[in-house]
Amino acid sequence: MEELAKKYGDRDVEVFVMYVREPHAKERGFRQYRKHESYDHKMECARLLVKKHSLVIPYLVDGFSEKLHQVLGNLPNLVYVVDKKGEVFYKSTWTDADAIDEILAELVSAEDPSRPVQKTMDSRRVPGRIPVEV
Amino acid sequence: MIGLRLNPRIHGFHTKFPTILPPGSKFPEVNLEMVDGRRINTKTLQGRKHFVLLTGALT
Repeated sequence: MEELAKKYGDRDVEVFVMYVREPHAKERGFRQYRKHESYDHKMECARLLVKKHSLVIPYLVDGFSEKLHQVLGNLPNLVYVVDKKGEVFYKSTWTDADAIDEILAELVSAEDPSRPVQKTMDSRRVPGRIPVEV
Repeated sequence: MIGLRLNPRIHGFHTKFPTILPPGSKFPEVNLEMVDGRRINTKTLQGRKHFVLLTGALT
């Protein structure tokens, strides 16, 4: 996603990640992580994530009650692409950089056909995505 | 017995997902704090920027 943020940065596209609940806290492989106990704890975990992976994309932190996350579908790896009108252009239950690249290329190329953009991401497809026709 | 059991709560959300904020619908305003302490309000992007919003966590 960092790559996509760079690629589309000059085409009026912002990429944000919203840090949400820990879906697998205390489960195998993630024993060191516990469920959020407060907003401050949640913020601390978000900062740890950003630091651990040296992330550059802006990370937002949803409230402790996760109101927004619930409105959006309450799934751990949601994706929404929102156009300049503030309307949902695309959404998915799974973060698939290939698909997002394709969607953004379509969106910005349609906006300015004199500067078409090609999809360039070619990572392994992740099964489980439920695409929604736009 | 080994089997696959879906969490009914999660499964329910997957089933409902296509009807939640379908393409073409107005996206709710996002006004949240970032990890660096600044705030972002997506209303300020309207008319100027497209945006991608992902959700994520450590686990």
